[in-house]
Amino acid sequence: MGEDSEWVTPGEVLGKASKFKAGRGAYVSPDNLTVYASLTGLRRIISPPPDSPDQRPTIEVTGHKAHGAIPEPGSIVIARVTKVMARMASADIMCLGTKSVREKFTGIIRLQDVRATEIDKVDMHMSFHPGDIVRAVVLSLGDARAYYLSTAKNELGVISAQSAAGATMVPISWTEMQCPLTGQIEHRKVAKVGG
Amino acid sequence: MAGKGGATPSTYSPSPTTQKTKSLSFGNDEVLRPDDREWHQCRPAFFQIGVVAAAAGSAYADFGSTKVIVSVFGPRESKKAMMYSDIGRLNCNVSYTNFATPVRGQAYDLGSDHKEFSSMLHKALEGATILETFPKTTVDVFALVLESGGSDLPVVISCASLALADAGIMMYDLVTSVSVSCLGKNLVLDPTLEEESYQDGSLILTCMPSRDEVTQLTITGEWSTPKINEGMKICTDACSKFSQIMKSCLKGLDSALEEEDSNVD
Amino acid sequence: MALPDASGDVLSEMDVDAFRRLFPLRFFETHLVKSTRPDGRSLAEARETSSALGAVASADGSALVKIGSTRMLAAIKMEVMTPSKESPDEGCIAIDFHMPPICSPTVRPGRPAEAAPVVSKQLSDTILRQVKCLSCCSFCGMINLKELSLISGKAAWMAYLDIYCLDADGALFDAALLSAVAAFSHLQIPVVSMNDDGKVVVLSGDHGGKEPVNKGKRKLTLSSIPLSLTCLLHKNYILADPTAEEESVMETLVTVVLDSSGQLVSLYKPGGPVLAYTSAIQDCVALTRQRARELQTILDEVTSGMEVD
Repeated sequence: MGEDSEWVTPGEVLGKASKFKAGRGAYVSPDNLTVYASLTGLRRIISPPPDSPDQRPTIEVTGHKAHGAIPEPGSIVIARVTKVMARMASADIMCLGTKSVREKFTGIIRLQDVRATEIDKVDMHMSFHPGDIVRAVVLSLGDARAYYLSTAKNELGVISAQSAAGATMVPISWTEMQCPLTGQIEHRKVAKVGG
Repeated sequence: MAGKGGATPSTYSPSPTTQKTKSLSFGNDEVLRPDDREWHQCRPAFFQIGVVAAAAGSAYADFGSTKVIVSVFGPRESKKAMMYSDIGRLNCNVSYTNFATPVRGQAYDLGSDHKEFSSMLHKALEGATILETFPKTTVDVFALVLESGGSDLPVVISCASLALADAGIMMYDLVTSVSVSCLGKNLVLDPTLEEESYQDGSLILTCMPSRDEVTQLTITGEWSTPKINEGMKICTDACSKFSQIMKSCLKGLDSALEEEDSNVD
Repeated sequence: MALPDASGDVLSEMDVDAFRRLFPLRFFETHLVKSTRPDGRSLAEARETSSALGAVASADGSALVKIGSTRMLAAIKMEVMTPSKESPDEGCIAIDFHMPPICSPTVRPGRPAEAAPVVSKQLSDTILRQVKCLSCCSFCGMINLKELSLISGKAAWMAYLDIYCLDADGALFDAALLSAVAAFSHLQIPVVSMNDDGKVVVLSGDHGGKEPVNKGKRKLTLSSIPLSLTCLLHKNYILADPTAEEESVMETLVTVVLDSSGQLVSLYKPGGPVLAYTSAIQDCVALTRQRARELQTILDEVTSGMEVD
């Protein structure tokens, strides 16, 4: 666990702002003089890239326990569809990247964000069903109720869905999945596998 | 919530409600405090982090007979009724157990939520938390006073800042809080419940010790300006002492304080 | 992690952690087929259990109990009441179970947890069970309420038992019941006398010349102590002492309460998707019998430690 002097706690002085840039888990005081820690963890100094105009090294605190991730624009999420309506679908965000979130965040996929092409022909009910697991990207923090999500990319969309018969379906095209038990084909906005 | 239906008979405690029988000669300089402390001495303080597995972060603190647990949840989705916000929110709540006070259920409004302390806790922590790092979401800080032995709010505040640090919520600094009671001509640091019941005035100072910034100062009762200055000085000194204990608790990852016995765990 | 299904290639990229979150039932089943659980326990194995007495200094009796991460703090405060006309020689016990917001991410201030009143009721039913059995005496419960009488028709004890869940990780009733029993075994009834106003007051050390009304009755006799085990039923599996996550994924619970002599006190199966055969119930009872012996040992150890003091 390193030496004790390497461990810092919130509020501890990490160095002078003239000598260091504040990285993760660190901040610069309002008077621009001092770099302080904002997390508990190990103090680390990172040398600047040789071509950087700012030649100050970055000082950061790698939290022994950073808080759970929260969605931000650009994050790839895995969500479970909870409700499908004519103009949008609601989904509970369960994972950020490959990590699960402790509780859940509510997201919505609006009609215009389902796919990149032929937006005017999208039918929400032919794209998602409640219970589907989708991979999506966070477009924005959205409104008070939900994050805005998009599946308008090849690798985004439904990654796991159950058929009416209760079996896990196999993707057969960009828009179709098939039930291995009954052979029935259902419509979805399917994510490219493996991508 | 009575366990035995609606027909709970009215009861009373056989313990005397106020201990007026004990003569506390606080005016007298030679007399020490009921627990043999010096006027400007704190009770033995103990902190521990990570005591509630179900929470994202948590801390336990005991100062003499004052015992509190604080759990932190989140950052998580804000309540649906909340307006959109670009920065994060802190939501604080302080409650008491039914057995927190010497006589059961005496805890302010009957052990339920303590609205005043909840709001004071929120104000004490808000300025120290970097709310921009968790936009739109809420961090919940819930405190339960297991036993009320005096100086409850300051203990809750210090304990809550440890719980926030344990949860990995970014903060400008730890927050420590201490109170003094004005008893006659003496200033009594970190008063017990009994001492608080005799006080002429109280001063609670909450600060960010590494940055020498006061986040909250509450003064009630009779105070002269020199007394206020003296009280603030005593509190600031005590706060920096507590911050050392809190820091070693965070750094030691439990080991530094293990030789001390803890009542919880 | 190898997943035996068609969408395996999608899921194989996922962290175990993400898989557990998205497909909790399948995650648990991959363990159950190997007769283990995610925390490394076997199906019939309960979590590490401990108890400490006297955690609350201001209470007349208190106990802290830990089963895995689940933690309960129980405290008893004794107050005085006028007994009812129907039972002038009996005191009373009021039991309350609380789930404060600190104990679980699902509890929010001002919105009491759904489980709390249910556990409260189960605890009251179990602890206050007063069986009038004709063969032995007139009493067969855990506590004889007559021991709580002070002055017949005039004064009796009301024991307020408050149990706070400090950390909720499943099997709440089991932990709450154990903490309640431990708190009663720790209880020291205050020595009191009647003052001139007819009020019962605590006698301080020197007795103040007053004659105590309850000399030598500082402990309650605890007969037939109830101890319990909660099991989860899923398909043909029986999981003893479930965690909160296990309870949320597989919803059929069976709680068995046995007394010291191994007799069945109560059995709760509050619905759930699994319908149990008699054999499964018998298995739960057998597991409880074994668990009750473990719990009794833990109780004996802490109470014997107390007598030394």
